Amino acid sequence: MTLASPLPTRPAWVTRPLTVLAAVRRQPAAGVMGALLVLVTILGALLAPFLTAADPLALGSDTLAEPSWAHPFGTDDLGRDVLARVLYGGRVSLGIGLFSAAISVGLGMTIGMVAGFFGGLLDEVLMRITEAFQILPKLLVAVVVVSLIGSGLLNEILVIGLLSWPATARIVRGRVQVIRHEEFIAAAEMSGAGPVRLLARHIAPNVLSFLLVSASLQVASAIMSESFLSFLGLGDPEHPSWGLLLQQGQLFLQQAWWLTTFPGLALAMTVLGLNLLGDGLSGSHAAPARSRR
Amino acid sequence: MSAPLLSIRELGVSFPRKEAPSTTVVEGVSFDIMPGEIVGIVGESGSGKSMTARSVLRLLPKSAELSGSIRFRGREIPEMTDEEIRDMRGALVSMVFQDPMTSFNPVLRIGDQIGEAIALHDRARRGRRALRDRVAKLLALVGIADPAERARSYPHEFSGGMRQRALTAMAVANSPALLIADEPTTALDVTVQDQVLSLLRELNENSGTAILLITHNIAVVASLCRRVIVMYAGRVIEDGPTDEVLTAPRHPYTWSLLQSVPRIDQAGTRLTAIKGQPPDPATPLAGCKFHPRCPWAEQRCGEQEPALSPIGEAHGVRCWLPMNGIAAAAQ
Repeated sequence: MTLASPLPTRPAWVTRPLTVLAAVRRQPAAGVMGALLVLVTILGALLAPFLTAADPLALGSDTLAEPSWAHPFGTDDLGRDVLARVLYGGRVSLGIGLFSAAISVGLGMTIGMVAGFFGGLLDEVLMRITEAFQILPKLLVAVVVVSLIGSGLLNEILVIGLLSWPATARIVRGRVQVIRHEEFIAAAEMSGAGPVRLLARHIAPNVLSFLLVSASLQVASAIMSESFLSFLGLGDPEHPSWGLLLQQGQLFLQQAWWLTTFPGLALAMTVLGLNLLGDGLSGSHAAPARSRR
Repeated sequence: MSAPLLSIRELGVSFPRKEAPSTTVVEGVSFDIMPGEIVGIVGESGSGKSMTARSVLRLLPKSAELSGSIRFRGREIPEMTDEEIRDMRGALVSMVFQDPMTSFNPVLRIGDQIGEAIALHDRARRGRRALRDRVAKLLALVGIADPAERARSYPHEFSGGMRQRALTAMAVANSPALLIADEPTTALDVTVQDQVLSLLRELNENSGTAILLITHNIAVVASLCRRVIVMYAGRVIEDGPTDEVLTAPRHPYTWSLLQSVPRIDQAGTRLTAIKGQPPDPATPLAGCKFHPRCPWAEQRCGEQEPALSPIGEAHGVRCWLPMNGIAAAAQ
């Protein structure tokens, strides 16, 4: 009775990296491109102290200087190095993007899973709340709330995160409604698993792969929202983000193109990269979902 | 005789509908299962066999309404709290599902899923390593080669037969007193079917697990079960020792069902299909549920429904005009 198919003879530490490599090669080029763009921006933000010696907040006498060897991206009206401000600004923009996306995905996933799994009245109530949030003009409310509670990184993260979970909640709810009728959920119930265990261990991992796509788009959208807030002057001047750099630069749009061009490029590159990555992920997840049976 | 392990009395399952009589899919089902017994339930699709089985584990759809009594070791299952039923599921009563392809979570390793079934009922709280050893032993028990390595596989890396074996391993992980097998071989090819059936027989012989086998394959019943229950339109219409029921059926439906099974010793003859369709559970039908299709139906068959009444030793039939077994066999 040998039903087992012949196992690969190579040990796991050899085969695993090879499978990962093969998996990367199967991805659509756009997705790989997106991943590279995102990787570049993340590395730029993380390695900022090694990429430039300049301090993003240090004033200098050389104001509004054109790009040169000393200041590759030029300087602003207060003589601050624009390269340093773009690199360190990436930390702020990406950080706000990641954390607010984490809040919105976490909240959306929890609400969507509970609504989709339990159904009934709980589902009705949660979905009405979700819809109430969804119809809010997101940016307008964000502007009002931030101007009321004051700017600052934490406030921006909270406001953006708390306003953008409904889409995730609805995706997750729909997905969970399908999964809970799968036979493997009945099989887990048959083994004696309770609702919390079913949700956390059997449903959540099946939802997560779908959420990767939504999460990367959420980060992009959160970065855009933050730029919008900063551009309206609601950013935190102590922690300049790309949006804040754009806002400060637009005063000198005609004298110093470098003040807006470089932060703008960084922003565009990141958002484009995240969107391409999201598309690539959704493409590569569609295939396993179909071949599951 | 000892006390029955499972005792079902007047079980009913129905789905209420708005502004219409509810759809009844199981009605008046009563039978017992003794410890260590293998009982088969046969019937065509929609005859209520799966619903009966799922009632035992209370795994019915939310909208279903359950009536009657299901006693497991003397305890009423419909009255148990959610916690009690969870303690029972997988530990005392467990189930092998029909489709091994969809019964495993695609994103979790096989071994982890079997391990979970053990850990959920593990009073001794054994550690990870002990759990892993137990999982490997179970996989070895169901005949999976290289069990420790295969436990780390994902479901898609297993073939259909291997998955059905792994599913069986999961179901017997806590040595249940009763195993419900809902068409465990339907999705498998013939050679693997045979292996799964031998596996069930071994389990029954070695650990005394009682098995309730649900199938529409009469050959499977003949090879495995000492007793067989025939269901039609949500009712038990015949219940008796396998050899008696299969060689000398007393209910016209059982007889027709056996006539429609291809037989190698009658090659070349046309199979007799049962005329007509099973009744729609949504529209009430007076009398015996089989009378519109029954060649021997009389007037009273369409007016009053017969009860399941004893006709021999441990043999019951729900018919006004039970067939004379010998005459039927000669026909």
